[in-house]
Order: sequence, then structure tokens, then C-alpha cells
Amino acid sequence: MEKSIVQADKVSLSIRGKTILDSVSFSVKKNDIFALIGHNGAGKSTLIRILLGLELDHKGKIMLFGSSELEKMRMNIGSALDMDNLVLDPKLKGIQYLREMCLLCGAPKSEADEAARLVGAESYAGNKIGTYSFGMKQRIAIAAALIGKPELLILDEPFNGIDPEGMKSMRMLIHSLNRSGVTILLTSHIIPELIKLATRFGVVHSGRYTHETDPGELSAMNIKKYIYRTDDLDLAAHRIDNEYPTLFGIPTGSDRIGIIGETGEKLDSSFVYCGTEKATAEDILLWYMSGKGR
Amino acid sequence: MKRLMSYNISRMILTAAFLAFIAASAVTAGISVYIIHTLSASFDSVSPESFEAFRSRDAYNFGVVKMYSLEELRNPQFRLMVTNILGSSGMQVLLSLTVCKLITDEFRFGSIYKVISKGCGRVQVFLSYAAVSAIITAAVSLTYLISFSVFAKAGGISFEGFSIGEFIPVLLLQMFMLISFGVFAAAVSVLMEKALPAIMFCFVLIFALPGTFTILRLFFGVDIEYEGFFVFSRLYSMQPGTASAGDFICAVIWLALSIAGGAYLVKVLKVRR
Repeated sequence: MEKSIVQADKVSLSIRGKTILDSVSFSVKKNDIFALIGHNGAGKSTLIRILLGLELDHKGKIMLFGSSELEKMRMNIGSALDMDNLVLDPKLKGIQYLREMCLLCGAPKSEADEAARLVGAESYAGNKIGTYSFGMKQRIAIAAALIGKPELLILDEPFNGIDPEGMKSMRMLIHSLNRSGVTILLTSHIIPELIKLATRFGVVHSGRYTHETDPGELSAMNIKKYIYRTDDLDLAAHRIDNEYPTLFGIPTGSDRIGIIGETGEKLDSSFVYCGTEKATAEDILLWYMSGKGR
Repeated sequence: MKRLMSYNISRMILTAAFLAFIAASAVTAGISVYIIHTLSASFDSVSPESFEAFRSRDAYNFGVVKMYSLEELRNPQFRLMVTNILGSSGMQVLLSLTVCKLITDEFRFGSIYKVISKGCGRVQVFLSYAAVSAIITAAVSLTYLISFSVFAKAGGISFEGFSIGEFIPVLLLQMFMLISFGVFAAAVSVLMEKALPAIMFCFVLIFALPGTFTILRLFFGVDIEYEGFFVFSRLYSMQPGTASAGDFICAVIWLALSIAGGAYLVKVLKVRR
């Protein structure tokens, strides 16, 4: 049986009477690239914060590396949170920041150089963080998370705010870290990148853990997507959301919308039926994320 | 705890602007002594009628300025007291800002989250900040003492009976109290997971509490025998010659209570952002 790196069992969190997470159970296995996906505010970052001990009031059981001694086990976790809004001390040099992390993790200072090299930041690590681009900061944040040679790396929204070239580069970096034996748990709502990267997907919608799947399962699913032509794509998408609660619409071109759902072919006359396609993995994940997916 | 302390001290040293802030605090503290000295000298020119307006009560406590009797306004020794009280309070404000700067940076740059997510308990985090605030206090107090001494030696302070020898135990006493304040600020910061509101809370508390008795008297006619509280008031103000062994014992107990109370609060209270 594969070793569970993270095991969350019925984790719930309410803040001032509002349910943020509702009985979430999931597990991350060794060597996974596990993507927690969901729209903004779905609860995925909160779940990460609970795993890292940053939220206090949760209920349910969490085990890390098979142990319930969480504080001790967290030493084996590297994390980079709020990667879409990274604020690092601009006065420090990248390498100084990494050396501070060495102190915090009780790691030798040489690990700072090693981590900078691993993420491809060695050429600019000697410069002040204030001079870095967003992508450079992200790499330094990942390097900091790698100090102490963690077994699990948690990345919160690593694809937000970076250009396509940066996304590709980030994807390659995550792949390479995973190949070197680091289990990855990441959150994102940028599905196209995750499809190319993740080995498992967990979907969070409105605080509930609704689906769990993997690329093999997604490609084997035979879910139909009904294609309709429409004059106003935005209005059509809005109407699908509001007037057809069981249907999910995905724009598939300048004047076409793909509909997933049981009664997809029974729309009113403003939608002109054009044909049926097999829903892609991205379509299915977006459908799940919408909360309408079965 | 050891790695946490190394990390925090490294943070403190690496932030050059932070060290500059400490130096600036010290210089400002020195300058403020001079300014306040000049201001307090102007009390001589205030008319006795003005004093009469305040005479209806025999004790006043306006935050940092504490007067047992308004008669003291006529006493040259009072100038020394005001100089010292306001000088030390200015230092208290600057010191608090220094601690605030450190803790704010920790939150702003996410370091505190790193620390907790690396398995350090909140109590440990609190204790390490408390220790760091003690180090900062010592550093600022030392520079303050130097600037004050230089100023005194240059003749800037010419009150009767003033001596650096008397001043040092009072400064040590003051340090204890400031450390307690730093410990308290650290506890509230870690609890609230936000430094600035926490520091604001501390400021309000530290300045509002002493003034509350006076406000109650002046505006609501509520007369509270608060002389008992003066043990703390005295500990917060530097009055040469008042640093007795009893004061030191009180200060040590106060500090111990601050640490124990802070650690307990951080552990059991779940204040959320």
C-alpha cells in the first residue's frame, strides 16, 4: 500500500458561524503531484493553511507522514503560500533570505546555494529581492521552501500572475522537483497548466471536497458536451448559469458554447444546436469546479 | 527554540534599516530630552491662576504625566520629573515603534507563517519575539543612556541632585517595564496575527489605563483611590532616587507575569484574523 503523506479526515472549519470547510477528507500519496482545484474562495488555501498549522479552530483529524505529531512532522514540509501575491523583504538579497531559512530549518547554510541552483536562481540570488521580477521572486520562494530538504512541497497558486513562458518554466520546475522525489501538493484554478502537470486532482467547491480523480480516469470518461451556436456568448453563459441550474456552459469559440449536463440538448430556441463532442479533461474539471458536476 | 532565536536575531541584524531605526530612536530620545527640558523650563512663566484651574483635585494622571499635587508644578524638582517622565515616555513610544517595525515586517514578509508552518508552536514564537524585544530594549536603552549622559555632561541638565549614578538603576527599572511591554506586545501580535492592530491595542491600553482614573474623576465624579496603582506608575516613570529594591521586585514579578500570561494567552486563546 502506498504511503500517505497527507491524510485529512473530515476536516471542517467555521468562522463566526460561516462554514469555510465542511467535512473534507482526502489523502496525498508519496510522489503525487496532487492538485487541489477550485474557484477563488472555495476553501483550498484554507485547507493548506490548516495542514500547515496556520488555522487553529478546525475540527477533524489530520495526519502527516503517517503521524499525528503534526508540529514535528511539519519540519518535513516546505511551503510557499500566497504565490500570486508574494511579498518578500525587498532589502534582503535572495541568498540572504535563503540562508535565514537555513537557520529556521536548522540546515547548513550551503543548502541555500544548493536550493538557488535547483530552482535556477543562482545567477540572481546575490541581488536584492527588490530588483526581482515576479517570476524570479516565485523561484526564490520555492527555493526557500526547499530548504531542509522537505519530503512534501506545498505550493499555493503557483501559476497565478505569471506569463505563459513563466507558467511553462514553473511547470518544468515542479516536474523536476517531483522526479527528484519530492511529493507536491498545489492549489490552483488554472486548469490547463494542471492537466499537464498533476497526477491527481481533488476538487473543492464551497468548502466541500466534491470530487477526486486522476488524468487516466478523466480521459476514460465518456461525457458528452453539446455544442450550441449563440449570438451573444457572454449572455448565453450567464443564462446557462442562472436559468439552467443543472447545466454547465463552457465557451468553445467566438460564437459557440459547450454544454455539459443531463438535459443539454433541450435549450430554448436562442441556442442553435450544432453537434456533440466528447468533453475534455479540462471541461470535466471545470464542470466539477462549478459544483454542478456529478 | 534555539533555531528560532538564531533566525529572529538574524532577521533583526540583516534588516539594516531596522538597526538604523534603533540608532534614530536613541538620537531622537536624546533630542527629546533637550526639547522637553526646554519646555518644562517654561512652566515658570505660567501664571499661578492657570494652576488654580487644576487645583480642585489633589492628584492628576494624564497618561504619561503624573502629578500627585499641582503644587509640584511650582517645584523646580518637578521639571526634572517631567523631563524624565516625558523623556522616558518618548523612549517608550520609540521603542514600541521599533518592536512594532520588527513584528510588522515579520507578518508583512510572511516570516511568521514560515516559522509556524515549520512546526514551531505559537508559544515558542511568542517567547522568541519576547526575547528579541528584550534585546532591542537593551540596545535602545543603552544608546539612550549614552545620549542622556553626554547631554548631562555637556551641561544640558543642570538640576540639583541629578546624578548618572541615580539615573542608572532607574533606567534598569525602566528597562524591565519596557521589556514587559514588549512581551505583552509580542503576545498580542502573535495572538492577533497582525502586528499593527496589536501594537495600537497595546498603546491604547498603556496610555489609556492611567488616564482613566483622572477622566473618571474629572468628568464622571467617580473617585477611586488609585494610589495603589502608583506602584506601576512609578515603575513606568523615571524618577531619580525612586528605584528601590521593592520596585525591582515588583518589576521582576510584573515581567514574570507578562511572560507567563502572554504564553498562556497565546496557547489557549484562538484569536482569528
